[in-house]
Amino acid sequence: MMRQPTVHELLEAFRHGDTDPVENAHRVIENIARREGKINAYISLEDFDSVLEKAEDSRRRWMRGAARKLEGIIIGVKDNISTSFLPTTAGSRILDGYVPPFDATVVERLQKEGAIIIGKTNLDEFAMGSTGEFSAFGPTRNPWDEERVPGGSSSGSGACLAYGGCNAALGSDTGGSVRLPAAYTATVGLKPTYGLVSRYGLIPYGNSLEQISPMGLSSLDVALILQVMSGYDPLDATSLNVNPDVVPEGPADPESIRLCIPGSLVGMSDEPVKKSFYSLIDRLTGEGASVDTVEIEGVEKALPTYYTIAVAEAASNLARFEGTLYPSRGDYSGDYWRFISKSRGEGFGIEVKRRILMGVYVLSEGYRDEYYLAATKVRRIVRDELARITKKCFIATPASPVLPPKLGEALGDPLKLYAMDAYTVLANLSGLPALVVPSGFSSNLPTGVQFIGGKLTERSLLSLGMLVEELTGIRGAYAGG
Amino acid sequence: MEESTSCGALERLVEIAKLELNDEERSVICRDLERISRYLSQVSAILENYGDVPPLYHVWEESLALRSRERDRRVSLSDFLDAWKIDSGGRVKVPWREVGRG
Repeated sequence: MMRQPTVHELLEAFRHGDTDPVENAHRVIENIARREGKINAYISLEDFDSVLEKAEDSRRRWMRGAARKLEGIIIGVKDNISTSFLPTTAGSRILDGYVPPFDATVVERLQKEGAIIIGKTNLDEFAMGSTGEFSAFGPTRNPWDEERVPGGSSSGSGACLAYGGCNAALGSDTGGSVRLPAAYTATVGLKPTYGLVSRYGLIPYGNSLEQISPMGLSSLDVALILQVMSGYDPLDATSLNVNPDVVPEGPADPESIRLCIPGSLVGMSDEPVKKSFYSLIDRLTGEGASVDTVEIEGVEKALPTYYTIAVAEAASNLARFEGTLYPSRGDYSGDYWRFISKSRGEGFGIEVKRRILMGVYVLSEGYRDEYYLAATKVRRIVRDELARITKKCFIATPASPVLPPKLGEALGDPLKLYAMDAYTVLANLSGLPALVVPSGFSSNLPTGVQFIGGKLTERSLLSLGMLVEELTGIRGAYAGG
Repeated sequence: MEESTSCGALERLVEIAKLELNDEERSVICRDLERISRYLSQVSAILENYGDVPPLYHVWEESLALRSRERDRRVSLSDFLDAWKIDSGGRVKVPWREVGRG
């Protein structure tokens, strides 16, 4: 397997003078020039001269001993996270040309520590999708196999990491949107505990479910990024008033690891996925980890529960996009309601329309109790059950029940598409943190394993991720192409 | 439920959601809504096995931050909107607030 340097390795190399941020920036820019035309991981890119100037500033800071925590590290930011210096489209025609007047808190925090934002990464429109094919700016391809999807909705973040078009990336995770791309591109993605990372500046899809989430080439990289971007933010009313140290000292001691596997749920996976998953579990037990099989109450209905809540929140959140304010397109004339129906009809793609209409349906008079209210009740059952289990063990599942599908393969059937999130939605319904790390390759396609931990156990999860990387040898995987 | 998920009900949903659909979208979504609503209706069935479960709207319901924390606004509308787009109350001018003003 070809390798590329991780953030941790780069920072060490900058510190020792083995390489510098300018050299790193040139390497990243070369990779973008070589692969971007086909992969389509970015919607907008910073001017490369400006990137090189910032890298030169970083180089000088390293020289004079004034480097900050992420000095000279190049980051791709999902295009539903607000930036005042680059357009923020959320992958939608309706926001084409919108430049926010402010930066998301996470963007501010990363830049304050010396990170260089190189561009805005492609995504399924408004983060609604599991494959990366629903962007108004064209689908993203998987750098490991260009005929396949890289997973979604943070498709561009996973893809640019895999081909070396950034050193780390930000995504958002509403139902698995960083963890599926991580699994499909041999990278690492962490959905933090709900409230650990500020959502200020994230264009919302499902407020009660989503978190801005780091992606990297190793668990340690994800920890380094999360350490900078997490913590209390008064601008987000759901922000937790905590500021934990999330960077592990090293890989977990295997004998201290206890895993719980929801057997019947894992049994739904395709054979190659199951094989890769259980092969990793065998290696972990061989090193001394203990494993139990568990059944999780309510889990068989977690996916429809998740989708009911997600579409209801989507319908409400996307009501603000009426075609005049974001971006401002000046005055309208004639019938206002006809005008906005037309704008929304032209601005939204098919999947967004499907979810908005479904959301209106589950919230509508006469059906609200049967659908939305019932889902919020089942959510409590699932949340309580997962909180109980994760007090004694990490829940382990594959990241996805299938290998990365071919482009177009899942598009025609929304239920087939939604089923790709079967394992990942558990963490969003419960608010618990979940990590996906590469578990191996099957027919040259990456597979990922997911671990769900208790509330605010990011540090332990990431040290487990480091242990898995030691066992698989997959860290800094490079889809060289 | 049959009636609500029929193509006729779609017209009402489209009207409420303020969304225009073209013919192709209308036919695809009409077909999908019925399947998806049937799929989502499984959720209420599971509740028959449980007593009265309270709904959960926020995963950490016990630790919701107070609204007062939001009061310190970092962005002022006048920083990025032209004056004509802001009403006398300092809010963004939107048509539905102007209904009935003549």
